[in-house]
Amino acid sequence: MSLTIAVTGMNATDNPGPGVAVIRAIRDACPDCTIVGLAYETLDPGNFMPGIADHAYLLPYPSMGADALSDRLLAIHALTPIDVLVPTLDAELPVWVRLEGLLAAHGIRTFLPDADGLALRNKDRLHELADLGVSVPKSMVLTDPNSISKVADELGYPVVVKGRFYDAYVAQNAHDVAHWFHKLANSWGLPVIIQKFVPGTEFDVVCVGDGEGGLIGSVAMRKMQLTDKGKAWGGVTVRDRKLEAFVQDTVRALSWRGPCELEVMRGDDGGLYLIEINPRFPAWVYLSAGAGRNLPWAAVELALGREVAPMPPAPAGVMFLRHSVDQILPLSDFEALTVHGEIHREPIPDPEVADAARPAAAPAPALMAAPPADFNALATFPTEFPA
Amino acid sequence: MLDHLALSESGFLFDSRTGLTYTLSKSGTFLLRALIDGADAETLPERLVATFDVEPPVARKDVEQFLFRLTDIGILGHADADDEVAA
Repeated sequence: MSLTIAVTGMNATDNPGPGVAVIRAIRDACPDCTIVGLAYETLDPGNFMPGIADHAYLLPYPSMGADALSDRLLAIHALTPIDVLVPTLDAELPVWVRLEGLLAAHGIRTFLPDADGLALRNKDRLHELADLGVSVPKSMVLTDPNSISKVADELGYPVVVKGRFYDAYVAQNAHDVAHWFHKLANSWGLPVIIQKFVPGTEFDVVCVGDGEGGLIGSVAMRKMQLTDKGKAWGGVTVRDRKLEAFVQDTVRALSWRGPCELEVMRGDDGGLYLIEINPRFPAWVYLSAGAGRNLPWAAVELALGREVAPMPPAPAGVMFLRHSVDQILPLSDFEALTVHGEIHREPIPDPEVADAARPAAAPAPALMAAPPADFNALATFPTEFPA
Repeated sequence: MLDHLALSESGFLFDSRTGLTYTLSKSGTFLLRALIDGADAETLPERLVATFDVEPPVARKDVEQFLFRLTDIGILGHADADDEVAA
């Protein structure tokens, strides 16, 4: 039976979502798989790239609520039955985690962290990982600018001022902290996180945890060039036994389930510090397939309930370089996505044939009523999004 | 143990612990290759004299500066180098 795998995060811009990279990795492992690309923006380039999505659909923003998202996904599922959903964006994950039971009831498998694990990796709670034995920089959570005066005593300067969801700036004094506090609070809301600055070198590690403390696989990377937003535009795999042990210990401490990216500083003092956990694949995850550790495919197999043996460490010295391409596309593709919210490059499966070929869905959870798929949702899907 | 270093004949060096790359001169490549292959640093000046057209005092000074530079940029002399692994 050919699998149909849906992937979100199709914005392959200079601040890319991971969707295109995840799809490329899955296609490497499963050329026969049908890929459904799920996008939040009509102009996300992944919707139009050749060889990426067999079917592309627009989704409502997660801020429109779980009902809108699930209604839309189930309408898509009715047209192109989905076996596995791989969400790749921070903002949508809490909603998908809440919907996990509902999706399973409809035969859509996922392999995601639970709500508690997802909450624990929030930036304003990262310092709590110290209680689990994970080395994290000392930090403060500020909701009030009057507390800025305490930073010098509690952390000392310099510090990193972080927004609740995104952005981070180094501050050398209280004046700097106040400046960035107001900017970040205005952009992302409160709290603002103040983290002790760790001088050293950053490494990024993509991982898949089995949810029981085990590490299925990981690939560590050092960024070789950055965009002006600090995103990797090139990198190389590295190997360091201490870093590998640190990653294993962190995944074990969190009993992390599913994909994640650990941002780790190797301090000039020789210590390793976890500075951030992103609860999904990073945009550079195709490097994992390039290094012979296809973590997106491992996540798909785990979602399907298959046994996946832990992978040996990835080799060092495998590079990636990102590039930008002017993609020529017919206006009809843009029209299809704008007007109908979908593009089909492969025939839509015959529902009866597709249903017969699929295993029975998991029983519906007692507390979650499974709404029926609503074809009208396709016709009434909004084409304008909130800013 | 320098098995975290991958050095090609062209003098291209990759440190698998840090992900950093370097380009070495012909004599630098010769010296680091000798170290990776297990040579004692004390023997490097005489190896340099035997292979390149250089006087012993100059060779000693060059080797000293070269080793200092390798240590300074973290390629040699990590206290925890034995804990690290190569590609």
